[in-house]
Amino acid sequence: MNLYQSYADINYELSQGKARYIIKGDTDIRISGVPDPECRRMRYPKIGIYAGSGTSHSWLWFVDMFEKMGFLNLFFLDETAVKNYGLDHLDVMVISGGDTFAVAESLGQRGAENIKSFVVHGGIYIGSCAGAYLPMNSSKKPLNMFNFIDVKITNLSKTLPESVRDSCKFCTSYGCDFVFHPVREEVRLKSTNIFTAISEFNAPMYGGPGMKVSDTTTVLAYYCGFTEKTSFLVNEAIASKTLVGQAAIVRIPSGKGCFYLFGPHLEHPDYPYANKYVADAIFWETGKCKEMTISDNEKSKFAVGTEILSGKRANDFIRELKRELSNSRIAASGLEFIPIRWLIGKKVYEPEKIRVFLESMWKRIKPLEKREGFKIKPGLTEQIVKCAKQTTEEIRKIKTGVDNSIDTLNSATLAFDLLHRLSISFFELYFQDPIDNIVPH
Amino acid sequence: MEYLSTDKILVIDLATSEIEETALDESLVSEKIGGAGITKYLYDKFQNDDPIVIGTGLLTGTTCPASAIGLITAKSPVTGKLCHCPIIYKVGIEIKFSGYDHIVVKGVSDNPVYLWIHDGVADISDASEIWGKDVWESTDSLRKHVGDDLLQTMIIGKAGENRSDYAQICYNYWSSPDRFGFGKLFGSKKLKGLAFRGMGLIEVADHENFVRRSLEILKEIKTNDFMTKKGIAEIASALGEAGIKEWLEPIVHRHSADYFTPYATNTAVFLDEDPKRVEESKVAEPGVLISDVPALLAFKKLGLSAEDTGRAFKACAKYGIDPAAVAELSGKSSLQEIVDSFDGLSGTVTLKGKGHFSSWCPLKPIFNNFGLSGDAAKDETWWERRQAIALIFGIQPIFSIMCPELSEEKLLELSRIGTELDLTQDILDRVVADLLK
Amino acid sequence: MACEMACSYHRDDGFAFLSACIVAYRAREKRDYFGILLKEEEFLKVARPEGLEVNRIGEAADPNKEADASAKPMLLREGCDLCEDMDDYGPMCIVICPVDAITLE
Repeated sequence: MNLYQSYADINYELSQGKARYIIKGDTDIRISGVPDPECRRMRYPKIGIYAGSGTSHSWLWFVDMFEKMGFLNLFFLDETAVKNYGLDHLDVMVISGGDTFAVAESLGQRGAENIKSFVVHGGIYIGSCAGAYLPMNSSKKPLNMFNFIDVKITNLSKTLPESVRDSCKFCTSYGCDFVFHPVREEVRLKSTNIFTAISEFNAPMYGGPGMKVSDTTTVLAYYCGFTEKTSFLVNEAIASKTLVGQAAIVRIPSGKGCFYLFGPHLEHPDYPYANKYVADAIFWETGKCKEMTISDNEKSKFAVGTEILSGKRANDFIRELKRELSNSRIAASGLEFIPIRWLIGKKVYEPEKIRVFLESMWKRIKPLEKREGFKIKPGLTEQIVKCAKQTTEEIRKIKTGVDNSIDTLNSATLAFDLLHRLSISFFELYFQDPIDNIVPH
Repeated sequence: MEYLSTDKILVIDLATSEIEETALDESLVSEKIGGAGITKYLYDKFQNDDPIVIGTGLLTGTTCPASAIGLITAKSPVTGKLCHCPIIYKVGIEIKFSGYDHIVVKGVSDNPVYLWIHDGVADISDASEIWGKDVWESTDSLRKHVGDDLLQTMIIGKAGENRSDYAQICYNYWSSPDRFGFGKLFGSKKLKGLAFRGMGLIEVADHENFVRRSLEILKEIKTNDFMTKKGIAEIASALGEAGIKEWLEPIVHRHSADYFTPYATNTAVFLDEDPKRVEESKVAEPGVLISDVPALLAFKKLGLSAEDTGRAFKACAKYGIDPAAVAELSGKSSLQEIVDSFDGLSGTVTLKGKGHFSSWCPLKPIFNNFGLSGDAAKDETWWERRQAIALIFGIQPIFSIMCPELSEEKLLELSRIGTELDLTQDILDRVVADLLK
Repeated sequence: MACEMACSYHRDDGFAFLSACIVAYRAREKRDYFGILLKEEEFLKVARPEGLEVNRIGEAADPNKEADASAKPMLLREGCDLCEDMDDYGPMCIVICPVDAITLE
């Protein structure tokens, strides 16, 4: 049976309130309908995906992965949500790739405190690539607001290794040192624990860390080698020394919860076994009962809106949204092969990235068209359509700017900001729970 | 209709601004196949509203060689007959990839509008900013507004806005096969035109066999002698026109083909730039693309030089007027006089054939004789049928009269493979008969 | 454009242009200027009438600008793999071009 479908089936049963139990065996985890003394009762997890400032587009890979596997109880967070509302309504919080410094800056002290509180009270933090760097102890501002765990990175050096690839920025200065990326693309991992019966599997790296921990029992997988798809950015011997035998996946307990840090992107859509790893970890961890600290008052902030949109109003809304997404998509395709890039913060953005967000929403329009109705927060539809229209306008401005050799950085910055906000609103709408009640654990 | 189709028919009422989508029924395809077979059906269905039906062939936009075209079916305001005009270049396939197999436009708008069709979305948009602009300015304006230079347009110029009998619907910047005054029809509805852009996907029933068979047919086509030739001058030569290649050659820049059409039926001439220039021209509008062989020959017959002919074509394309009509009716022999004659043009254009299909496509076989004896009446019957077949399946019409390898049997075979429908020769004969009556 | 169609077919098993790694550049219609773009894993090959240009993906035309090793792939258009899984045909763009404009050396 298709791997993703089997997880989707399990999640569907959980969402219907069916009792399922997870147990760690010797070589794998098992899921059954019958309890066992060593088992945990599985829950249909609430997963928050961080999509705020500083993130790149790899959080969309988490969205695709979770959707394929039936983890549909998804929440989409920007920095405001994390800072102002906290995370206690969630079981899992995921931060994927991007600019670690920008993520830290935007989350700030309040965001850091809320993340810490979330984990300490039983929440599961999953950090991939930039999200992995974030909670590591650091003396550098603003990362020093996120000193949650003592994990060292192995791709840190006082002297920069020689690059074997011309014109490839493979390092970032880090105080007096350099964080460097020894490889890109596929690496081989060897699992130490039993989240998967597959002891070795591949996953891609795009700037993530090699890790060293004092307590080796927290290492769930090591880098064990490279493949023919590995792209070396430094001498292979140095790459090997930096990564092979070092931790690729770690699980650091903190209070009643834990931090999962992934060096590679286990959420990449082309790596089903890596995806499975993430899913099994979530199932296992959320089988523990999480302490809920959120008050009833605060719960209402996250409550699905009471406005019901159905019939012609719903159709009209989706049609308007489809119109603007199409307009944006077409304008974005007009930029596709234009040799222009923008430096926004510390990261480089290309026109193709605009289409990444738009395609991710566009491919979900048809299912939205088929829905009979939506439960929405008041004003959300107007907000989404307005954001979509503004996005189209900015992308068209970029094209006009390029055609007239005018600087387009401001338009691009605004366009990417709008895309983030639009995607967050879109996915909030798309993943709203059509089921009225979830049977509590 | 699951395969080779978007499964959508769009009906737009310009008077009420109502937009309706219906599914394309498989039973309709089984009965009428596609292209002109269905556009005629839709015309008949909505005929009380004097509709313009824009459609695509069953094979349009596939790996079938020369599956390039869409078509316009409407009653000509000039002849009063129901006519079918091919939509060529890259415009035809963009219609299907924009999300609709067929579009019915009925009613009259109160104000100038254009239809913006994109990825399964249809918008009636205000055209006040481009009403009054020539075809080139209008296409430029729409491409700039939308932000994509690959936007495809069907646009009228001043001729259409002024409801000239000789007004053409132009495609992007270029003249079209419209000999029927469809530009006048658009103008009378205050419809400036249509813009298309889409990134759709067309499903195929048995895609492996469809592609395999397409490639086999392509291989057969490539053995044909015409594969060593290109451009409109070669077509004119094949029709017996002496000296045309030498006459045109000094201004020829390049030849280009419609989507996946093995023969380049269009020739770009440079008028304000060295035609031999390989690098991108720094001149914004260095020349014009010509696909109209009869009009080309007509201008030559007036005694115009190749360059002046090119300029006449360019002026016609911008104005949105049929160059063949201009050449025939202007009664002038200098470029400036010809251009000055646009507004006051009058007279009856000689329309060859029965008037169902555009005589932009030469009325006899080119490069191959298809086993014909040269009997004029039989040639005409053959031509009418060949045009009908081209417009049912979406095949470039000029290519269809030069390529015997693209037979009815093969087109039917591909259609069956692609749709899993039992489309037979009998059905095709019935559809053709209906079109030719 | 047939090359785009065939390439996209190789990716999607349907007829489209969106995921092709070979693209007919035709945005300069009035100037009658056309080219072909081929996206490979790390390079973008641009075949212009003037000649061939090869750019590293992620770099601007300015050679002083660097690609970012931590950049995540877009996964919209994959790099050309010469249709390695199409044993019967080889590269589809070559097979389908009606005028044999594309060859493999």
